[in-house]
Amino acid sequence: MDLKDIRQIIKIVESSNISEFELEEGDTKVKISKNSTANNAPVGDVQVIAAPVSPPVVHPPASPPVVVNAPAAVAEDEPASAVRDNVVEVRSPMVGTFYRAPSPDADPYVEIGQSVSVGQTLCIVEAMKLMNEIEAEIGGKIVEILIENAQPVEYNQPLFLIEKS
Amino acid sequence: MDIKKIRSKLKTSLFGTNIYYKESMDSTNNFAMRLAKEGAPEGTIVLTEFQASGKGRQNRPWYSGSGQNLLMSILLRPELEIEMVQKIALATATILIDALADFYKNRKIKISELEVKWPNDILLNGKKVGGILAESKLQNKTMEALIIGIGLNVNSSRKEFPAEIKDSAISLKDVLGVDTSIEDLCCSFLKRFEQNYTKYERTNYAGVVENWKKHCHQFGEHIIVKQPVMEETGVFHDVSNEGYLMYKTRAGKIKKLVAGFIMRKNKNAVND
Repeated sequence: MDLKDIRQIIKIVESSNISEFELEEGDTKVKISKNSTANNAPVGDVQVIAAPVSPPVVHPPASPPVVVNAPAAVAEDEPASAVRDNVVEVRSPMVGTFYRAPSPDADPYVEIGQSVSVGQTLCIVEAMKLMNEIEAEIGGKIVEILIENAQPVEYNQPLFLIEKS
Repeated sequence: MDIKKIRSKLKTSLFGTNIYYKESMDSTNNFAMRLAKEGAPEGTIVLTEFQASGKGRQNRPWYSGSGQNLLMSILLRPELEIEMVQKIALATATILIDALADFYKNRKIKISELEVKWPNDILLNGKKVGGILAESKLQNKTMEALIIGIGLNVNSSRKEFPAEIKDSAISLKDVLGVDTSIEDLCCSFLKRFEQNYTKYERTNYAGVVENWKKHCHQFGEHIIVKQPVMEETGVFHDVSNEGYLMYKTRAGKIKKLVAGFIMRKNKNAVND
């Protein structure tokens, strides 16, 4: 296990609703515990993005109210500057495993810098063998891919940033 | 496969009104997904004799000899929360088991008990006889389409299976010793599927997990839980109301598996 792995684990624990995580591997023992005050913040009140308040570009009006599972602590790590008025987040509709390609040896559905149109498949989120193709809701350019391939994702976790065209 | 026979024998009102059949295709799920994107209605069925790239989870190949097995996909357009959709896949496995049990009972053919293996494989004599692969298309948390793919080894023989699955797979013929009409089996299954699907839609999928658990013999089994960032051993404890696997760790904690898969300890992957 190296620093990169530990950083990855911290990221995952942060973005989940796990409050404590322990892992032992050979001589290495990692324990991650989240600050309880941050964790007790009521779900839904948590503001994940520290960007200036702007029109609700993140979700179209028809979408259900945003329920954010991530603790407030995540806010500092969010690429706040990346979320601008014309940049829209694509969030995971479910808990599962994020896949960028239809199979391990296939090309990813999308790459950074690529233009996408409405209805185009961006990724797969798998849970219990149910493979869910996530489509783009808006057309634009992929400016950021926020999750690495084959990593777990939480409900509502941002997956992509798309700059509206 | 005689599609005319299926069309004439089918006693359903929705499922199978639209049947797409081609002797060979890449995979019935891929074909059905393309139809879904073109606007095909709920209940559309895709059938084939040979899949050039039949697939399981993460596109692992699904082997099937030509013309010997049931290879089918069903297009659904459920107006449900994504969480509920998992239950349709679980329900399909049990509907298929019940349909098979009835089918052979009506023909006075004895068949040993079929089991489910989490999340949606079907076992006969402890070996894989069928599998279900569900794929959905989501836009803004709305389900545009749900494809339920079914692969069932009917008249093929284990002798023809590739070496890597020879020990873990089996066909109905291997056990029964006789051929089964794929057309008749398909009609029986679709009739039962339609009845159950309508009932489940009405009752919000009540009882699906309980029923699934009755067909599951994995409780207490020692497993290896593989998750994207970690791996640990545990015991198959339960399946939650939402269909998630609950396992007991060595430390005695009960955990829910939401992303990842399990392997039977010291054996090959059990849900691949």
